[in-house]
Amino acid sequence: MSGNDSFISIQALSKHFGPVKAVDRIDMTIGSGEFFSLLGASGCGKTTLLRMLAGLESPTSGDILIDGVSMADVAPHHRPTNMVFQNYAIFPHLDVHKNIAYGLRVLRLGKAEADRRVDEMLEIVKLQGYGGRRSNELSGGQRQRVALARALIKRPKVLLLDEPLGALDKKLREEMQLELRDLQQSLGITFIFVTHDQEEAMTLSDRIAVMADGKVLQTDTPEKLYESPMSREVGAFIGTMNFLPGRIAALEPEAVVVEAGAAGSFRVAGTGRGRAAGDPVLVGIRPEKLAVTMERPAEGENAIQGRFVTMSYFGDRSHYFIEVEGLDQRISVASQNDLQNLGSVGQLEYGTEIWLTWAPEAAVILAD
Amino acid sequence: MKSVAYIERQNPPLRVYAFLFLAFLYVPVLFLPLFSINDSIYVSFPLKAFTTKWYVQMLDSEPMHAALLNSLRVGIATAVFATILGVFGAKAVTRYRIPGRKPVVFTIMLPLVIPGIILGVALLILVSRLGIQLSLYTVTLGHVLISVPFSMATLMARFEGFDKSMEEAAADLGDNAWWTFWRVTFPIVFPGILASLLLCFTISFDEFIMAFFLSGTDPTLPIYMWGQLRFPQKLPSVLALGSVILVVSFIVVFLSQWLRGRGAPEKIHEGR
Repeated sequence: MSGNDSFISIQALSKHFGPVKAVDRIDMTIGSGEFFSLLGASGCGKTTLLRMLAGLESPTSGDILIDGVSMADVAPHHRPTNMVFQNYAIFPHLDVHKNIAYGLRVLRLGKAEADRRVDEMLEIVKLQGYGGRRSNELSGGQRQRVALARALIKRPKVLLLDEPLGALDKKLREEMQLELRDLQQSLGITFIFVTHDQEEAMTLSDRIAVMADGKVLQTDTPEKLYESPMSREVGAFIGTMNFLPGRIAALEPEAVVVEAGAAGSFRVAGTGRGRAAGDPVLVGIRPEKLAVTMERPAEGENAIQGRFVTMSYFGDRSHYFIEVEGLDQRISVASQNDLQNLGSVGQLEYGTEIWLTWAPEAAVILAD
Repeated sequence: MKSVAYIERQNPPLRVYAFLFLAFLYVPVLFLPLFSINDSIYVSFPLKAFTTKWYVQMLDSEPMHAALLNSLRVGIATAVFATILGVFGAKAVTRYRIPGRKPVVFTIMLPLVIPGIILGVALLILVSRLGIQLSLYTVTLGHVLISVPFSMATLMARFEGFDKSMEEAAADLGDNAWWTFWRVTFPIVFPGILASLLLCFTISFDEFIMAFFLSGTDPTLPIYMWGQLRFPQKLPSVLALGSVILVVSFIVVFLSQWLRGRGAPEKIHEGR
């Protein structure tokens, strides 16, 4: 990320549709050259926020500043943003060349210069030779590239992308993710990317804002979001997380001792996030940070006893589901199916008694 | 035997029904061209001999030329006005979240189900109360009224068929509302506009009741034909004229339907 950390500044932005608060007083800053994702389930307000950035929806209250300029009274056709639409919105009556050149009318370039720019864009999105095709002669991936080229040709300060990979199949989507990332890095344009796919957001973004019910739950780098989510919602939305509710038993210099009822008492590395002994806390543990053993672990180690219920096989890894007496939710444990692990746990049968262990650093105390 | 899906099996009784249905629809109409080339002023079997003299007589008729010209003028004016109203109406009801959208559409579509004679009488009363002279203008007025629902129906289908994100994309790429309309909206709905023009023209061209009530001294073609029926010896040439109108109408309506389907936004093929 270069230079300006508050290149885009969103200030107390709200959008109400009747009684529905699609976007509810959001504050956010996005740096220039950043790949920024808005992540959330459908209906969380991410698309509405993007459309307000483009000027396609007008805010109920609040303001958006791009490069220090308020967008409140700027019509969509005058904004320094361009958008890749969810369904690509390729103009069906124009060929690929004319679709890409569409935005050049307002720049009043000569024909030679306009053609040169279109050719340059065709090369960037790897569609050389496709200029004469119509949109109905293109595959989903090619349409996506045309939409990208059309939005980039005016060299916008900000590119807005509304779930652009949603309609593509898995393999193509992964390919396009890499290309998008490369493109963003080589052009240095700020990308604001809307998606409901947490893996996609993690792969692509410098930072992610996780949204729910019109609000931002947490804005952080993918790593921070995964390793130390602030809340249960974020922990559950990004990947899978096991939650153990409990109470702080003691605060040590480097760790917190948590008394978690049925799950026993254990140590969590870090601070209590401002809590005192006796306060209730929620502890989150990622499935891959738990280990399954058949023998009872040594005293003083974090451990829970449980019974194996079932497993899901993913090829490279498996998820084991463990039932712990007194916990409503099964604990899931991920295990790499590599050579070392193959056979170590062996054939677990329903009801087999096992132990779960984890390091104090593996768990996090959630903020709420 | 080729295996066919359950739902695609042949159904002989249905074929018979389909045949009877088509016969019922079109056989009476086919008598028109048949008797128009029969060398007799009486419309009755057996047929006498083949002749084209009725066509020659029809084409030689000076009043027929005048009536044809009147009908063309009314038809073109009707098509243009009804289509302009249809474009804006269809855009409004499909694009904007206007309150009372359904009642508005219902009101616009109402002339479809109101009997022509009632509309005709009502308009006649209105026009005469306002002291407006009956003329081709009043006929055009009536024709626009009955054509707008057809224009709306044709164009609404067209507007609903294309995604409003196309227009948003145009705005996003720097076009204001005016340029967006001319560079995106208009070209995409253009086949619908052509279809509407042709359809409204045909409706006006064939229309009798409104023209009967609202025309002054200049008859449109159907009114002229009605007048000719009083003279038995003119009947065959009316049949000849009717045959020509039939063929032309058929071609125009066919063209309009073809245009309506053509260039419709295709389904997006996902993936690959």
